[in-house]
Amino acid sequence: MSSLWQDVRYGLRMLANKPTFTLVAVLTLALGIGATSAVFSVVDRILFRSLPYPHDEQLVAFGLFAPIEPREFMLAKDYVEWRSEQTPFESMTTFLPGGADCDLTEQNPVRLDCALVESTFLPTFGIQPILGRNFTKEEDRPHAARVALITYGLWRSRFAGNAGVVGQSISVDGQPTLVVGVLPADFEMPTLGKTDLVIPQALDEAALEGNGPEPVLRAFARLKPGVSIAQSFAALEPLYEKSLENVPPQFRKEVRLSVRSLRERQVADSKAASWILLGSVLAVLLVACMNVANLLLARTTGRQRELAVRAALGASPARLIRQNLTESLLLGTIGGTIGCWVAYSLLQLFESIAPEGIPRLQQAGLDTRVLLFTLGVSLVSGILFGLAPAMRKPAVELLTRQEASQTSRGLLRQILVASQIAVSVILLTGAGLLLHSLLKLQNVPLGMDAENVVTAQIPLAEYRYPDAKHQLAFFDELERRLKHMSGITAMGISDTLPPSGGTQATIYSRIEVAGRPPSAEGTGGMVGWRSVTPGYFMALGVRIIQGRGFQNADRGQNQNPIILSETFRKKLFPNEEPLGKSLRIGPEAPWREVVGIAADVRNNGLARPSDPEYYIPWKFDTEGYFRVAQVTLRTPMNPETVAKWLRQETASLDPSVPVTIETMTQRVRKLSDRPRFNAVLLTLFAGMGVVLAAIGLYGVVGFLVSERTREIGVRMALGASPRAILRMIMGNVARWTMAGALLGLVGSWYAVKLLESLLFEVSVRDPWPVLAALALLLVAAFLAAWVPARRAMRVDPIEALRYE
Amino acid sequence: MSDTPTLIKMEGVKKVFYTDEVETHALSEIHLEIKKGTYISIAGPSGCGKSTLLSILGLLDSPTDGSYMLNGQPVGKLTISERTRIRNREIGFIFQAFNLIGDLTVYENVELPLTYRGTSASERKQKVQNALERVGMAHRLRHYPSQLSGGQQQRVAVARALVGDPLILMADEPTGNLDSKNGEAVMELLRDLHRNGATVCMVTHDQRYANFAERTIHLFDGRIVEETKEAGVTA
Repeated sequence: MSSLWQDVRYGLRMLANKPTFTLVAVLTLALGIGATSAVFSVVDRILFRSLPYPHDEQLVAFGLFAPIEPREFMLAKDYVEWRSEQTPFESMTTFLPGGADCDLTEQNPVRLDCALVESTFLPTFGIQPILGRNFTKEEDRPHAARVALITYGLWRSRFAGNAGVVGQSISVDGQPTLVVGVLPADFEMPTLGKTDLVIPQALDEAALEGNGPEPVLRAFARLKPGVSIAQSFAALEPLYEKSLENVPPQFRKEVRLSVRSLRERQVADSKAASWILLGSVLAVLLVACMNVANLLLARTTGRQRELAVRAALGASPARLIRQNLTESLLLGTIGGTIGCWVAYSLLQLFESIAPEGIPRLQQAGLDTRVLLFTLGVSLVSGILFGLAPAMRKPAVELLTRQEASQTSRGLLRQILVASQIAVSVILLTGAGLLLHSLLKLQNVPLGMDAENVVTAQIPLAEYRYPDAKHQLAFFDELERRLKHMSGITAMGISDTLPPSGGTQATIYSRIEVAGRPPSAEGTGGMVGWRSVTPGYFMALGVRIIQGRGFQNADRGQNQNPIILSETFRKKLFPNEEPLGKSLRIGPEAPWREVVGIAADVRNNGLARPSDPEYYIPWKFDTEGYFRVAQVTLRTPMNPETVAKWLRQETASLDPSVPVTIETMTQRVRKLSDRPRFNAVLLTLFAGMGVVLAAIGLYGVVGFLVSERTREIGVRMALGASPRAILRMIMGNVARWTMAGALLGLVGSWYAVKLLESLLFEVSVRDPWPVLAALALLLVAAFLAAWVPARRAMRVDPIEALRYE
Repeated sequence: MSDTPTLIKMEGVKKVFYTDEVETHALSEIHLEIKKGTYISIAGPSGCGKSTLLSILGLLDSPTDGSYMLNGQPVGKLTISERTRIRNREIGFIFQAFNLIGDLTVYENVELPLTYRGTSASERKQKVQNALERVGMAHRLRHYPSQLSGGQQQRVAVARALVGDPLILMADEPTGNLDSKNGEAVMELLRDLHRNGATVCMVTHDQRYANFAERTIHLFDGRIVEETKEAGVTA
């Protein structure tokens, strides 16, 4: 133990005595370890860390996948049947998708996010309220007295953590609601949605017997011990087959059963990017380790005599390795300690630039687990970069020779530099591909003019606007007022807005064209639709390429015009004149006349082509009403001013109505936030890799020059010109760089395939990012080598030959 | 003297260095016997193989051929660890370039062989103190080598060589980097150690210092060509 302490003491002294070496090595490691820890703290919660539910590995999301919903769902009637007949699950639960706005209508009213869940929700997820209790089965029935569980955050912020709130009645949406419990601080919905109140969904199971519309539910379950996901899937298949009989025949081919782990459901979108970012940052760490290994190798060469003396005096090989590794581990530990600060700073950066929807990013931080990871990474790095120098055999026989220093061409060091360059090429190529893809995504034609457009989402609370009449009245009045605002060149109202998707949709094969037989079963997928006012097209700058747009006359009770998107027109009337044709959406719906064709608008995100869609008028009557409206204003004025007016106008109608205002460019930009985030991070890591590789190259060339000073002196004495010396040094650099670049090209060929799912209109074989990466690397390499190479040109032969 | 046990016995030792396609015979047919308590010097011109012989004697290097017995034990086929252990316990080295470790204090430099031996801290302290007192450097134990003169550094190196009570001290041109005054002082120190019973084997090219030994072997082109004793010369 005392000898170990001696090694530590000596190691610290060695580091203190070589401040430049120590500084470069520590900063290099801090960068590598810090970046790794920061990314780990984010992806750990996505990929590795247990979910905040006991035995989370038993939790699954299940249901049907169909084109009408991006995620698995259950229709309430099927769910009720499955619940009584299923065998693989210990328990099942559901809640209504998307939650619901609900207002705490007391003093200082506030809009909350409510989750409507089944009474089995908490037991299935293994959640225990920290105060009070779960609601009972009886409380989860229609017309039961209203009860609620409040989240920890709301309990602290609204009720100051008062335990007496349990048993109190609060007013939710104007109705007295009994608080029965408080949820734990780490409670989260399985969909990761924001939630303040959890209230019973009160599914009316008796009403499901009829043929009316049934609610769509999100379903989750806990597997019985020992039952795998595959087994549960097999066990559910008979129930699924039975449920399929209730699905319209034309739709059955597009429906499938799904059972997947809860984690998979939560992180499926982020998984690939998480692995790629983790891989990239580990590559940066590898470059950092190779850099420090190189520095240590150079230093070990300088310490040959010392190591030889130690060996001569009786230090065993194992003892020398231990001493060297102690120094490396010290470096790793110091690097890791500073790396924690780097990680903290990077985390702040991540949070500031991160888009919405990255699972649990807000929870990412340097907790015990991440700190232990950092310590582990520091120690492993210490061993990784310290091993090669430590394993060098001390040349004790040199102690009694005249030339006590051994010159070496440092093959290992050259290999390390070439490897650093190779890893940097891979990182740069990946970053280049993502940046190219991002550029394409940002410049994708939207089919509308997003400039100078202000949008507002206005949701009406159900308890204040319980029916179509009230809702219509509000929006009609709002439209009337906004139309007269000065500075507004066009104004539209619609139920949804492009380009983010989320339109209402219908099954293509339900659409019937007058004079044609119905479409074959299961053909055509889905068709989106929007309800829009006449000003919608002009406000968004969507071109009407044939026929006309809507007019106010179209909003009357007996008017049923329809406008098709270009894609939908091509699909429905590929070789016919569409104007004047009649169609209807289902046998009970009214016939509609095609009055116009609108240009395609991106309506399913930026990366996907426009889906077929059609437009119907936002009517003056209560047919087809909406509780949420999207207001679109085209205006040359400052959006902030317009936003202020808009809020004022809305508030003058009803001050309790919340208004979410964004410009259309902000909405569009949001859609490329996630690719931008990935591209920025990968570029950051690639940049780190290049800088570290350049530092490594600088160090190795510098060392090479000082080690070969005598040789350079002899060459110069024999007539070599400074230019010839420069050529000699740069020739070496060129060889290592080209070797690294070639290795990197081979590595990139395979590595970039992993990026395929993240790219938009860019092939992984796109040559430009590779060429740009190579060019950047070559410039960085030659700049890094230039300074020490210039020093070699200035070697004074007389001094050099005197040099020992 | 004939009853004195033999410490070193070499028979037919050869050393060949191979570099690329060149074969250099550094030592040929070395037969050498050194008894305990002897002060022997190895002399000869530059490049004659003196240092190579000392390296082999000190187990820093291995012979290409021949046998070598140290203290009655054949050392030719020892593992690296065994050779390391013998160097640590039975041989003390003094080098021309002192070879003190610059980042260690005088005390720590002298302590090093004992540390590798696993000696306890209290025993180390006592032995280091004694060794430094013997060479007159006890007052400099907190200094670093760079703070000492060449002569002082070599005295510290001598202290480091003798701190572990080795069977033999191997000195490779111990005065080579010193001025004559400091050289004389180091030689006096070695003579004192020998008088107190130490076996000393010294390489030197300087005849004046070779004369400090009771026995001198002369090397030329890797062969022993002559042996001189205080009381006469043998071929």
